[in-house]
Amino acid sequence: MKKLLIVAIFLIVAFFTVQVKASVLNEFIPTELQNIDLEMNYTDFKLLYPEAKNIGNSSETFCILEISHDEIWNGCILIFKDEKLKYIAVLRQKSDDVIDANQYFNIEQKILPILKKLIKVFGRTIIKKINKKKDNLTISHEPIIIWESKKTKICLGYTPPQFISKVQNPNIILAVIAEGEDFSSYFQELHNPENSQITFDEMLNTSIKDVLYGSIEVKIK
Amino acid sequence: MYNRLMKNIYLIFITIFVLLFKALPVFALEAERTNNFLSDVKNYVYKNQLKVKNQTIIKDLTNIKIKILKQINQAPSLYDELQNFAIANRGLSYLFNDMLKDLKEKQKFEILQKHSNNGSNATLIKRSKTSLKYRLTMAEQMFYYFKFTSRFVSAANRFIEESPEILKEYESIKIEFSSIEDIETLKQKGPALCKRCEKLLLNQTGGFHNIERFENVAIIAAAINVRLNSDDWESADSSDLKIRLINRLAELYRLAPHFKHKCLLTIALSNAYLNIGLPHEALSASYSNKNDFYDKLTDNEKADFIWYMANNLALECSPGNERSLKIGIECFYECCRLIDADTGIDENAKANRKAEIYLEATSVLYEKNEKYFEAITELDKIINDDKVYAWIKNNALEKKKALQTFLTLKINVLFSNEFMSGKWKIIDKPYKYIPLLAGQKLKLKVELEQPSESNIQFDSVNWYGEIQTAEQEFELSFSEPGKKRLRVEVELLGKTITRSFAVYVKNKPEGLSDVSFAKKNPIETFKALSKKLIGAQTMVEELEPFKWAAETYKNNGSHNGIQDAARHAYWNCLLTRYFGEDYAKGITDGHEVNTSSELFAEVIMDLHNNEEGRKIAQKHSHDAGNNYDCCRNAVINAVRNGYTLYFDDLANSNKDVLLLPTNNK
Repeated sequence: MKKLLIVAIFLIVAFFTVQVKASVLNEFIPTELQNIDLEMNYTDFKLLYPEAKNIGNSSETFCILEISHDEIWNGCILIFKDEKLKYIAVLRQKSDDVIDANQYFNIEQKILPILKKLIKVFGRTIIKKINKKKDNLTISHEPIIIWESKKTKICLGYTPPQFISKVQNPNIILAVIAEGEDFSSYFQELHNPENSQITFDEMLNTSIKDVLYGSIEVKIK
Repeated sequence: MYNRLMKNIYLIFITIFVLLFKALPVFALEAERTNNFLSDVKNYVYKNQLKVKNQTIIKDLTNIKIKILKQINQAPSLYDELQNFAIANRGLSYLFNDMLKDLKEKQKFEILQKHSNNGSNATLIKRSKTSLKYRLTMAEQMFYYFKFTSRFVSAANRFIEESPEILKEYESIKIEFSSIEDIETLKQKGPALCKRCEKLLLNQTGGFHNIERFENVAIIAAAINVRLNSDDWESADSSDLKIRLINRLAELYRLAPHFKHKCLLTIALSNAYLNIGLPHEALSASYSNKNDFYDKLTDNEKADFIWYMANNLALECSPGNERSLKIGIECFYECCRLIDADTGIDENAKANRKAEIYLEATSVLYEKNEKYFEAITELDKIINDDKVYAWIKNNALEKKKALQTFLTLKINVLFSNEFMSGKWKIIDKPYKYIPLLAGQKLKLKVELEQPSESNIQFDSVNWYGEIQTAEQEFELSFSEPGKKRLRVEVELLGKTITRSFAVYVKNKPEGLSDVSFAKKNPIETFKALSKKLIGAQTMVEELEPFKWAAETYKNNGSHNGIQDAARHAYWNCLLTRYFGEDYAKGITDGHEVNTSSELFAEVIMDLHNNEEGRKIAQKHSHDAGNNYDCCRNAVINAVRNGYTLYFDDLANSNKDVLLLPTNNK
C-alpha cells in the first residue's frame, strides 16, 4: 500500500512537472505550433503540417515551418532523429527587404520579456556560451544562454546589437532540445583562442545583464 | 720596230696570261666559297622549314649555323651575301634576323674595342652594361622586358621616321623614365610622364611610324598607369601584373583615335601576350582588332601587318586550337593575295614567294596540327607549279613523302581506371580531363594505330609533366588534388609527335553530410529551405536552381550534362550570395559525401561545378533583394566560356567517362 502510494505520488509529481514544462513552453510558442511536442513522430508531424519543408532522410530530418501570425517569431526549426522530434526552435529573422535591422530585432523589447519568463520558470542557473559564426565578411559571436534540466535543454540565443548590421543573417532563437541529444556543435567554446579577449558578458547589454544577474542567488556554471 | 712591238705585245700577252692563270683560281675559289656558303644557307633554311625538332635535326641546325658564322668570320664579305639572301627571300628573313643582329652587334663591339682608348666610348660600354644590371623598379623592368623582345622587326626598316618634335619628346620621355629608380620617384613623376606618353599615343593625327619607339611609349604609359593604380607593388614577373598591363594596353587601343596608332597598339598588345606565353590570345587580339584599321593601311603596311600575324603569331601557336589554325591559314593566304596584287614583281618571283609561304607556313601549320591531308594538298601546289625553283620543289617532295606515311597512322593516348575492368578508352581531345580521386589508381598508355600490313614502331616514348617516365604503359596515382597536366612525346619516322591532356584530381569528399551540416547551421538552413535553395529529394524539382537550369538548358543533359553543370554552379552561386562560401561549400560538398565510389566521376564533376559557382558569386556584384538575374547571367557566361565541366558520355555505362568544358563537344 505504501509502495503504491509512493508510485502514485511520483506519477502525480511527474505528470504535474511535465504539465508545468509544457505550459511554460506554450507561452513562448505560437498557438499554431502548440500541437508540436518533443519525441513527436515524424509521420504525425507531416500529417499535421504538410506544408513543412525539409532536408534529410529517415534517420535524420531537418524541417522548417514558416510562422505568419506571431509578433516575435517568424520561423520554426524541427530536427527529427530516427523519426522522433529531438529539437524544436522558434526564431526571428529578417527578410531581405527589411531596411532597419536594429529596429527589427530590438533586443530590449524582444529578448527581455522572454528572458524574464525563462528565469521565472527555470531560475538563474545557466550555462553561458558564445556561438561563433564565420562567414566571408565577418565573425559574429552570438551569446547563448542555456538552462539545463535532466529532461531538456532550453537555449536562448541572439545576435548582439553591435553585430546586427554586420552579419548576413541576424536572428533571435529559442530552442528546446530533448534529453540525451548531443547538439554540442551549436555551442562552441566560450573562450575561443582566436578571440580570447571577447567575453560572454561583453556581448550582453546592461538591461539583459540586470535581468540575468539581478539577484545574489545567481549561480554560474 | 714591228718586231719589238710584237715582242712587247707577246710579253704583254704572256703577262696577262700569267696574271689570268694566277688570278683565275682566286676568282674560282671565291665563287666556290660563295656557292658553298649559299648552299649552307639554303640547307639551313630547309632544315628549319622541316619544323621537325628532333635531336638530330636540332644538332644539325646548330652545326650549320656555326659553319655559316665561321665562314663569315673567315670571309667578312659573306656577311653581305647573307644579308642579300635575306633581302631577296624576304619571307625567310626571320630565320636570319638573330644571326644578322648578332653579327652586327659583334661588328659594333669590335669597333668599340678598337677604340677602347677613347674615353667616351669606354663610358658608353660601361653605361650600357650598367643599364642592364640596373636595380630596376617595377615599371623599368617592365619597360626593358618588353623593349628587348619586340618582334616586329621588318616594319622598322620601312616606316618613315617620326617628326622632329615627336622624336624629341620621345627621347625626353626615355631620359625621364630612365631617371626613375624608386617607387617614390615613380609616384612623383609618374602621373605627368604617363600623361605625356598618352598624349603621343592618343594623338588625333597619328604621328608614330616606328613600332619599337611606339611600343616603348605604350609600355611606359601602361606600366606607369598600372603601377599607380595598384595597391600592392608586386614583382614585375607577377603574371597578374602583366595581365593588368595588357588590359591597359587594350584600353589604350580602344581610346586611340588614329588607325595607324591602333595598328601599332595591336602589335604592342599581341607582343605583350606573346611575352607571357599566350600566343593564341595574341593572334586572336590582332585578328579581332584588325577590322578597325586594316583597310586603311597601304599595301606595304598591310603586307607587314599580315606577315607579322602569320609569321610571328600564328606559327607560335601550339597545335590543337582550330580557331588559331584557321586564322593562321587565312593570314598566309592573305599574304599570297598581296603578293599576287604586287605589280612590281614578275610572275616567277610571285610563284616562288608563294611557294616559300606554302612550304614554310600553310603546310607547317597543317602538319603541326596533324592535318596531313591538308598539308600535302598545300605541298602539291608547289610541286605542280612550273615556275617554282627546283630546290624548293625538292624540299616539298621530300616533305610530302614523309607526311604520306603519317596519313595512315594514328597515335592514341588511352586510360583505364579501376572500374573499367581492364578496358581502355582513347583520350580523343586535348581539352578533356580524366577524372580521378586522390589515391585512386589509373593506367595510361600510348599506342600506334596503323594498317595491319605496316609495322611501324615508336623510336622513343617520353612522358612529361606531373609524371616523367619512358614507359609506353604505366600505372599512377596522385595524392594531391589539382589539374595534373601531362604530355607524351613519341618519336617515329624522324618526327616527334606530342599529345597533351590532364588528369583532374579531387579529394574524396569527407566530413559532415549535407543534413548534418545543415543541422549545424540551423539559421542559414532555415533561410535556404524557405528560399527553396535546398530541400528534400522528393521536392527537388521545386528548387530554384533545378527549375532555372531545367528551363534555361532544356533537353541539355539534366544528369551529368550541361544542365547539370549549370544547376550546380547556380546553386552554389546563390548559396554563397546569401549565406557565404563556407555554408555553400559545407552543404554542397556534404551532398557528395555518401555517394558510391563507382560514381566518383559524377562527384568530381559536381565538386568542380560547385567550386565554380562559388567563384562566380564572388566575382560579380549582386542585384538587390531576390533578383537572381545577376547570378543567372554570370552562370550562363561561365557555361558559355567553358568554366564548368560535363560528361563526354552522359550514360557512362562503362565507367570510362571524360570531363570536358561546357563550351566544347
